[in-house]
Amino acid sequence: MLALAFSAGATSARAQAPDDVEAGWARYREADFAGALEAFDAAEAGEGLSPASLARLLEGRALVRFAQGEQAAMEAALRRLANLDPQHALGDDAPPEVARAFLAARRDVGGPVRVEVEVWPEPAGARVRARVTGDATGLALGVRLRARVDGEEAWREGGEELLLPRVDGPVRFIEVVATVLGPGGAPLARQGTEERPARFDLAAGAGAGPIVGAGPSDPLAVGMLPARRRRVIGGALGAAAAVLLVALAIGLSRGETRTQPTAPVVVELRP
Amino acid sequence: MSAEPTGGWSRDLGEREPAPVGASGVERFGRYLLCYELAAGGMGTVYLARAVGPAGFDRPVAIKRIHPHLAHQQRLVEMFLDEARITSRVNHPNVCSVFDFGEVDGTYYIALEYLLGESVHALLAELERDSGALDAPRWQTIAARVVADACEGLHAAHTLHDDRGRPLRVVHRDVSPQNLFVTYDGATKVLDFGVARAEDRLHQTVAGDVKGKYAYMAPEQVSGREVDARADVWALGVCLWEMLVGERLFREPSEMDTILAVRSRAIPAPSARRASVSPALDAICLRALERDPKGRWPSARAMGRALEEALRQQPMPTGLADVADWMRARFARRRTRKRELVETVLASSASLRAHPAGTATPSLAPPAASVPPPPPRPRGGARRRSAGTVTPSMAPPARPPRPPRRPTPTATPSVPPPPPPRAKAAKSSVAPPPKRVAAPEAAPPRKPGSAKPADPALAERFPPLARASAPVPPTRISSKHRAVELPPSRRPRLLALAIVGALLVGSLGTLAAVKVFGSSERVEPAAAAPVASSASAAQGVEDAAEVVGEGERPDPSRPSDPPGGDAEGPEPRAEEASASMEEASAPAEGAAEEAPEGAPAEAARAEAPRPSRMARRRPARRPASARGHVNVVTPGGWADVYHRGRHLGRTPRQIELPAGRRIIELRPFGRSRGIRVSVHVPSGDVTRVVRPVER
Repeated sequence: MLALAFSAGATSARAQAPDDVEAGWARYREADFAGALEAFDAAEAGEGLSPASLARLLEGRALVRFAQGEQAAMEAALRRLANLDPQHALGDDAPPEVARAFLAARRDVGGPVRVEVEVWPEPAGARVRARVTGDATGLALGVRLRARVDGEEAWREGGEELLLPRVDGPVRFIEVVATVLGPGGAPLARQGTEERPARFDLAAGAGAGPIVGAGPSDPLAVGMLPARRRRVIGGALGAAAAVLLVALAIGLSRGETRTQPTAPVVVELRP
Repeated sequence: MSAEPTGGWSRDLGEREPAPVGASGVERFGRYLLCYELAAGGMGTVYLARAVGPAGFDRPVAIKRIHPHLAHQQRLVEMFLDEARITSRVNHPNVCSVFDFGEVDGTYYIALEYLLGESVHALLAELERDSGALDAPRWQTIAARVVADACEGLHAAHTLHDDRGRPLRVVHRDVSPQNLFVTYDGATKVLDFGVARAEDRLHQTVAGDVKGKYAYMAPEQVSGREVDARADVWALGVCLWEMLVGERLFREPSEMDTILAVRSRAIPAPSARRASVSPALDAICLRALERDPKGRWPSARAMGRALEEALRQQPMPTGLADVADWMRARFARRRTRKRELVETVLASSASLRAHPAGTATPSLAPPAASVPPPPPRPRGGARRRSAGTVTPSMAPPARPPRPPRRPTPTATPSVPPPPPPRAKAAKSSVAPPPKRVAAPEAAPPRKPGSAKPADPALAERFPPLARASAPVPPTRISSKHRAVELPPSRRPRLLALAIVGALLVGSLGTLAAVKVFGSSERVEPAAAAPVASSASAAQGVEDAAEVVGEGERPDPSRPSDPPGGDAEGPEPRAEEASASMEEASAPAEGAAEEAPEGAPAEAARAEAPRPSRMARRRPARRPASARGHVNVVTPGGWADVYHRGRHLGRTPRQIELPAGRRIIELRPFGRSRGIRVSVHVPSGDVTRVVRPVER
């Protein structure tokens, strides 16, 4: 019963966090800055945020902080946003100051959060370790590791490090899913998925140090549409086309006579 | 790594038990009751005191009083007044507030907010006893938080401006662990601007005149060169270094050795002495300790922001509450003791009221009355200077006074409010002319040679003082007093004049009201609701919006856009009609805002219309400083926000405006075409403006 209640509570929390992000934006659009911050804080403390909703949260918070004149807090939110999704496209509400600060944050942060997985063969099993890299802003709050040995049915779960014992023989391969979790439980970076886990073959590398996952993970697709970029490109193309058309029209409209020099005018100077 | 017991924090802590004042334990000092002597130095003494207000409205304050025998030394008095003036201008939560300053019987004093807490020096002394605590991550973050907050307080002082908007270029010059104070509520306060440098100091320090503590002085300061705010950044760096390491950075046997060390000795990274210090704090500290000022943090705020960033990267957040928890855990006993001290002071002031004969200065004891009267003042004696002004305190009434209807700074001896901006304080310093005191025996003779606040030389260099000391136009209060002084034969003539004047004022007021209402109908928009919410607010404001013609900037000379905005034009008149004596100079302020962007403020002030005599005479309805906030959002894009031609920023933006109906102009995406929005700014509250825009 208790577990059921806990589960229900967790489910409601999961459902609530993205709602809180939208509530925060709604408050922001009502110019209720304090209310917006409260809602964003609640969302961040909750569960179930997607990377997209976390990005939305951070953008909203940056705008509110900008509105309040809290430059440092705005920059902090933008740095976290840049750390989550460097390619994030800010909405039209963002004034140039915020856009510039975001560009600067993107330069400072250097890239998104990533996760690397190392697998260490052990005499009686293997050890899996997840290492978070690129977390320049303290966005990563934890790591969730799931791994299984030799295609077993059951997954083992843990934090940054997981010990996988194997008593009935050497480990042949390990499948791993590593997820970096951020505010609101949002996944920031991932190595492998449940359907296609990252696979480590231990038969060749046993006893020769860690087997590092095949390169750092790709950041999760945040899924925000780069509307502004599309508009800019579209606008540029449109302007270029317009210039071409105007030039063409001028060229066609000019007759030959207009290009001929006019006759000299004699001016008589009389004393 | 443990701390070496060489820090020497407790050796020179200098903390002492508060000593009761005098034999009776209480001494009346102007409108204060001095109860405990907290500290004494060469220049003066600090007391724990009570500000005695009407109807038992008391509060604890710290009174810093210059020694009477030094009162004739102009240099010291000027330094003392400078400290008061600079600190009273800084209105920041991280700077100890000045409530009041002035002179009683030739003794100058400053009334400061009494803080319950400990100096950073005391914190370090406490940690010296528990060396393991210095390695705890919690202390590292608390040290960073304390210094970050101090950075903000100092930045507020560094960026002070005078009334004309000119930077004062204040430099504290004595930032040290003794002058950084952490309250039990977790707030950090910067204290003691006693040797601060500012552009308009009465006492000008010449280059080469070194003031402060050598161990915390920047190299350029110990060399006697010109200093700026970066000298305080250095001192903050020394404080941070010492807090992180738990040792003195420059502790040498002699002053000369200290100076040499400050100028040339290599400064180790804090982590070299204490391995637990994080690289981020190392870097921040070392940058603050760059000997070349150009290499330091350019401002205290920049350093504070770097510390904030370092704090954000810590796994444990460290805010005010965390510092408070730490302080309460560490100083539980001392906190209790200090609280008890305050309670004792409260009780003593209560008993003083009940038994006035028990005072140390019985001749100044208040007369027996149901309501404690204001502290009497001997002739020409007590003067109170509040936030840059000198206001003659209430003279002792010939009979027990009635409690005033409304506590105003001039009509009651209540605890003065936190210092308002200088210009506003000058406005509110209109006071009745000094009245003749009918109890000369109660007035102790002024000491020969004691400093007089109305000293012409001092008054000349202290404009508000000169203004306040100048003859005051007759007010409702003062005219009554004058009537007492006039010979009886002139009373009927005066009465007739008063009646004629009242009729004139009434008719003018009626005319003004008619004009106001007539014109306000023209501009009153549909949406002037104090708090417009959600879509309805947006719609309402949208309805009220009015698109104006093109133009890069609103032209104050345009007929349709007179100074103050056409729709806002009637408002000052409305405020005049509200009969606010304190608002007498409000139009001047408004006119300063109406100046075209980029125009000098002086010019705007010069052009400001002088308040009418009628407006000056009227009693206050609401304070001139009444301001409110407007949250402006333009969904769908951003917009430049203008008010009276001044660019206030871009949306989203919270702007602060004088209370009342205001017109703001929104220019989406920086376009020249603007949208005018009328908004009612509630005093001390927030209202909202939502105006969707499109590209």
